[in-house]
Amino acid sequence: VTPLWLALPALVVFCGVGAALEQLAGVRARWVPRDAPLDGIAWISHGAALYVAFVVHPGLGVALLALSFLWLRRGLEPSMPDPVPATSSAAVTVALLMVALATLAIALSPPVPIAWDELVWLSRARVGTAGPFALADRALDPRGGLVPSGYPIGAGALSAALSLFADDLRSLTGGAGALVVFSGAVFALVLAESKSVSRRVVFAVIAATPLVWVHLRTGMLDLPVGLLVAALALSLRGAREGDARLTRLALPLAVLLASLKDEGAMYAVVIAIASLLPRSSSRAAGKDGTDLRASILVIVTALSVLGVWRVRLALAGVAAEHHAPAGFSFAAMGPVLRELGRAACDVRSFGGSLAVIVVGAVMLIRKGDDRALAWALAGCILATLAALAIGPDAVRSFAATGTLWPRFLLQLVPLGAVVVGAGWRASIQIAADG
Amino acid sequence: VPEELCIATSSDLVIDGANGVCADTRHAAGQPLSASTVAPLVVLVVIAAVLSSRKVARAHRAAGLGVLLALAALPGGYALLFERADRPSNLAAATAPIAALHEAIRDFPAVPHVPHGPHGTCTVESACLACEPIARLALIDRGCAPEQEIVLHADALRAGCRVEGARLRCGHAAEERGP
Repeated sequence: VTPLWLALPALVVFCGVGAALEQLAGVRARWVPRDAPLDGIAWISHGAALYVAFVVHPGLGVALLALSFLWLRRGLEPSMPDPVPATSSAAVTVALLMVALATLAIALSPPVPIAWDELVWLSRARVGTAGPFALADRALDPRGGLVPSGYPIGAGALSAALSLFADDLRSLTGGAGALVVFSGAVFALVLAESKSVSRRVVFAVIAATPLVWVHLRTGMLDLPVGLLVAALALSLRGAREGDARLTRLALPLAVLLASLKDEGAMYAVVIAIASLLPRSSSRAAGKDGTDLRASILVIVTALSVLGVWRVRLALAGVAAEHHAPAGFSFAAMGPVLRELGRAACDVRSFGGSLAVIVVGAVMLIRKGDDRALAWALAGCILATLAALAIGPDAVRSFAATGTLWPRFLLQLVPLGAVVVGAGWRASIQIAADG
Repeated sequence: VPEELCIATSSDLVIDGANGVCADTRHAAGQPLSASTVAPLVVLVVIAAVLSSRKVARAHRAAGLGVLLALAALPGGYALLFERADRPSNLAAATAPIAALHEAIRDFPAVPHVPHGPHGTCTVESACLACEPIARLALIDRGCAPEQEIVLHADALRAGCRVEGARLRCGHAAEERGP
């Protein structure tokens, strides 16, 4: 049994910090009591984001604390008082049930890491068990031998905290599993509170992706990143709908994404830009400017977290082993694109989900009111291709040897499922409107 | 795809387990895309597009989408439940060698906590690709005495470890394994 319960103390502390922050900012009193699950996960997200920011650099933590306070107190002001929740409490119950089932699946797995990158991530978490700043100190030591060098440290630091800073294999696996559960809970609860998305379709598309079940039982970061990416997209969509309950999650999600993996910052920026695209109707549509402020805040925050870490690495003389640009290479893109195609055709790994996502995205771009979601999905793919065109040879090699694209596509399955769910609801609306 | 290409052993799990339900993409990497590789996705996209057409009744569309997703997930689901090394009936057996190798390597060093390099300060001689990340995890915060050495043979995950003086030897040398 994987000891997920080890994460409870850290989650309680994160929750307390997040609740105190919202209380101080004067937000809490305005929320509707039925929102307890969403409140809880938002508080944990605030606390976890602040912890990770402090670990990356204490100055960044202080800056994020101030920014969060100002954002909650002033930035969301026009969207308040909150609208009456558009979804039934049954949606929240179903979301919690899904999270409980996923938790059970992880908890019943043996507490043993089985995949290459999972072992690598856990070795970072093991360094992090020596104390909150131990991983940063080791990563910034050019002779520290943390391989590969230059990677973000958020996942290792968070995973170590969730394993109660115990360095045995069982506890480390429990911390990594808790990170997956946390990401799943964020996504499920944000989805449950989102308007105009068919939740059944979203869950069906994700559940019908066999590779999701492989990653669910591992401490790989691709599934957590994918779930947080989709949650961020829905949070920014909430900003356009004038739903402050969802919008308040945008800032902590941007911090978490940018500190978990390098591509996390890229996804956050792409989604924030896509969310500003004009919509076909003027319904709600963030007339108060909350959506613009939220998007800018996400971009600035994600780039700041990534930038501060990169600057610290540069000042310490540590090379980013896999993330230094190698110069544009048109010739390198042939094998990269071919292997992207091969991975997309891997029906044993993705079932029919990628086919449904492609059709859903095209439909949404052509007809729907939520083009931003579809463009966010397309933008993430294009941005990754652009990064590979100028990117380091090592990552191009990962792409050309077939180990990069399956995991990249897996990262985008949750966002793709949301696109299909939004397209589904839009098509029903169009039919109803005649 | 021949059966031997799917994730069959604990070593396969470590190397390819998260890269796909089976190791299809990595094993075929570098080869031209064939029609048989692309055809299933094209067929699925066409069916999904037809189902999304406004000519299809909403009830039929929902049922069709469900059937499409369920049928397309069958090959992968079958591999997960019955073929892969970490299938439910074999999960404990597949993970036990990984845990055992990790514990053997972690318990070996005589000098505690001397961080230096991906293997701490230990000398690791490895002919076992899948053992590399396991050794890294075990030794990331460990230190070895100068005379200590860890030798990982190709069958280290299968054969287990033994201490020989100042050396931890996991698996058997090629000449010991025989033909």
